[in-house]
Amino acid sequence: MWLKSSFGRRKTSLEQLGELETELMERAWAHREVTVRDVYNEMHQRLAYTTLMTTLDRLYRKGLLRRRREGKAYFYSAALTEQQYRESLTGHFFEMVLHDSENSSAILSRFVEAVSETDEEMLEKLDEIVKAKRKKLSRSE
Amino acid sequence: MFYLLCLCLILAVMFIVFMLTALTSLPALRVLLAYRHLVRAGTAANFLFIIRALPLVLGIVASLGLALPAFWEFEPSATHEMPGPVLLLLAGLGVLMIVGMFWRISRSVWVTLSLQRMWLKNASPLAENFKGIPVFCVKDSASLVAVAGIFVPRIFLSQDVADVLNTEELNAALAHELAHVSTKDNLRQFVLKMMPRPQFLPFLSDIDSLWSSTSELAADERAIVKGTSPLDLSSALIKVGRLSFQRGSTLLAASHLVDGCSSATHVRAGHLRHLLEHGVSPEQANPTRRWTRGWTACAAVVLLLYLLALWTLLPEVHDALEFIVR
Repeated sequence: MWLKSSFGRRKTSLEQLGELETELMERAWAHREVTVRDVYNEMHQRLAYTTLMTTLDRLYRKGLLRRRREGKAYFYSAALTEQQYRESLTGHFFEMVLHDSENSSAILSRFVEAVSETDEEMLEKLDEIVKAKRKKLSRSE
Repeated sequence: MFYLLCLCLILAVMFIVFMLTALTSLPALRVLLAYRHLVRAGTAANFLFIIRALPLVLGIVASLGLALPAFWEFEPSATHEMPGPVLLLLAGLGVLMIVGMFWRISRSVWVTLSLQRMWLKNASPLAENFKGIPVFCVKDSASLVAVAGIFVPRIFLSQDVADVLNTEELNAALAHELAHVSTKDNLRQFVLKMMPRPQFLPFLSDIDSLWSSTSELAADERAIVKGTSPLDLSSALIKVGRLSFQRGSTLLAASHLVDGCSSATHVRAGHLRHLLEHGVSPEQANPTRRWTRGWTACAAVVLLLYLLALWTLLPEVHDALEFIVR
């Protein structure tokens, strides 16, 4: 059971990005729109056409690229800006560390940990008291 | 054969003492929970840490401080005695315990260093350190105020938190983090994360969760005693809490909870309400110095007694070891 829970968990698209995928994303950001042929012309010494086609298709399926068809060719463009991607990646890593009980092993002292709806209600109550106290203080001044 | 037997005995003794002491943690925890209203958060956090760390400390002392010298002194070095199946089993469990500890701690260090590296990549240092501790403002991060680093602490602050808090609230949040630094909570976390948590002793994980919540309360109290306004601290908690909630951090950090209603944020909000209404006295909230002095004195007395009684104890310890070997 623990094996299943540790290794059977479906990874999100951001976790799964490999070196080639990252490189292709960088090209999509740089050129705004790319075809498999464009990328192949730049990378043909290292990679086969089919590898690039499969990888671009995988990025599209992960929701990181958009695509439109023109004739027989697909034109790929990034679904996220580089800034959004970096933000999601950092945020994702942080969330992963905070929320995955397996990954809660980071040695950190946090001002606020994860906040649930129950916590939110408690914070509302605290807010009412804080506002009342501040009002009282400003009146006395 | 002498060395193999010696190694097996040390591991077995460490395992036995760890388990026996860990089992006594439950009654100690019950006593602490029964009298929790009489002790301050800082004192409770110290007790919880001791309850959790004691099994390992006693395991090391018993194995290296008693079993090893007793075996060395009284066992003939030309012994042909073979370790029995019980001793081998206990030694194997001891090995598993130690390997598990190293695995957990190396994983913790790796995760923490990766996290720090990632934050530092997107961070710029604030112009002024906060009471000697460097503060970094992290761009593109989920809502965050945290102190990382065991021996070289750094405070990390996300841009959204820096934007939403006013100067007083920001100082209050940083004072809370500074309180964690002064009580060396990251070092304590390091020790706690290393500790074995056998599945059949689930209350050990509860002690870790309780320590986590209690140390947060203690940091709030300490920050207030050092001059932070409880109103500013409460406002900072409310704003950062709401940001975290809005950013989708709605899942409960299961490893830090005892149950659904006792997350550190929930308990802190309740505690701050109490502090706002009743206040906190400096004498009650600053027990660290007294604790340090008390425990240094205790450690000195125990060490003296150990040195005085060692030669008297060793034959008895050796007899007990013979029982395990056979």
